Amino acid sequence: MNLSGDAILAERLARGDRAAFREFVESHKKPIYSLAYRMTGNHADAEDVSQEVFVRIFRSIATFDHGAKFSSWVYRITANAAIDHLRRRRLAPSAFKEVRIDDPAQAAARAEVVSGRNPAREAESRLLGAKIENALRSVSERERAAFILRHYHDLDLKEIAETMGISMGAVKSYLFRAVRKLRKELGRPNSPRTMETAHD
Amino acid sequence: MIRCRPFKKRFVEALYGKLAAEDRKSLEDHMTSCPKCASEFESLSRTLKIMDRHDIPDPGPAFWDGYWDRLERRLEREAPARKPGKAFLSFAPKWAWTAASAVILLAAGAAIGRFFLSRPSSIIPTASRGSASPVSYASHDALIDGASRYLDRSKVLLVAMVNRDAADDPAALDLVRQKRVSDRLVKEAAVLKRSPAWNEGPEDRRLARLISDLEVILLQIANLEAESDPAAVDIIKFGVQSQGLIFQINLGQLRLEKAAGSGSRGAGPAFPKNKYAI
Repeated sequence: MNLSGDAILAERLARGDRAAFREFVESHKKPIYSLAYRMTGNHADAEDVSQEVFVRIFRSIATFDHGAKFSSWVYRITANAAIDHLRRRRLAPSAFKEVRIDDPAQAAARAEVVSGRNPAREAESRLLGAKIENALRSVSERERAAFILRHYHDLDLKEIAETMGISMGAVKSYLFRAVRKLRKELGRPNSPRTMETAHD
Repeated sequence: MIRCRPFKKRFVEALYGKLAAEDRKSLEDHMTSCPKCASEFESLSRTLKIMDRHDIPDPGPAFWDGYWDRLERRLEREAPARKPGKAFLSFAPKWAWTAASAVILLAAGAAIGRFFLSRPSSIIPTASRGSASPVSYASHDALIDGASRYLDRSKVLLVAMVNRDAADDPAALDLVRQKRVSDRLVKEAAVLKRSPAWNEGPEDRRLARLISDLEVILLQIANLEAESDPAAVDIIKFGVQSQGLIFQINLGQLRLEKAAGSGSRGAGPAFPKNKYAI
């Protein structure tokens, strides 16, 4: 997420600049969606979470502490919104749906990413994508958040610590545990997993 | 092995190439003599390479094009509605009771304010009302422009009020100025409400209601007795926050902007964007 120059943007948002809010949404919707997607593992939840993030920012921008880093604040809201969403879903068992690695809906969505290449490679890529998503689900929510912020959003350990409100040591431990769990999960033979996620 | 533990602690930083040169060297030296650590490090590194290959399925241009509209609808749908339930009352600490009392006082103020400041039956003025003060907003476009400026200025004032921390810095807010601006805005609200250009549509009704709600809180600011009265300011701040007034203003502004964008206001000028500082 490119949040450079966001101090100025935060100022404009806090002043209630309507154009700034729309600009902010347009420029940040994709990185926020992608963080939400990796946290939740599916499109519908990712959209729901990403919109929830903007609603929260819209409502609470007046309370943003301008001494803090705006990008950390946005990431924190996103990670918390995703974790809240996953917890709510866990509390509503009827909402669970088993997602298999050969799930047609996920496969169709993934096909958009890999289309236009040879079928064997497409199939392989789809399988790998599903396997990675299942591996991410095997990691607890907070470990997953730390891993995604480090690996896909390139935050350094200090920024992750700020974003998640934890110590650098805790970030290192989350990351180490996450990578070990991912290794274990990726090493398993293909077997369907449920959407139910691990938790702290 | 116990001697491996301090080195394993450095794995994460080493995997991402963030280890200081000296630490990196000592880790490499250790791995040369410890095949188990070397093997683990290698397998973790391979895991990260696999994770690099995770692409997010693109939901497509139609999804992104409609994103803002869906978000805007959600913002409207989820306008804050405070409903403190039984649980809140049962477990509320002392400060919450104080805050609740403040809300009751504000509600009473609102009722009194509405009774004296606005006509309860309709926002559309009758011909006989025109004598009290000049009606400046004869056309609907002029009225909406005026309302937009009123919302902008009210928000600047309320945001300054909400962000003020009287406990840390009693001089953080120029209360005399805030009172003066509030007084002007209260008068402006009265002029806006008397405009003959209001229509009976839901958008106008919502806007008029928001102007009246703001008028009440602005009247309280204008009538603050002492020049620096932290307790009274805190009650007003709580009122602004509990009623979600800044959020309501944001919504009002978005609706006005949308109306301007869709051309429903005719060929009039676009709404000014925060150029009216208080």
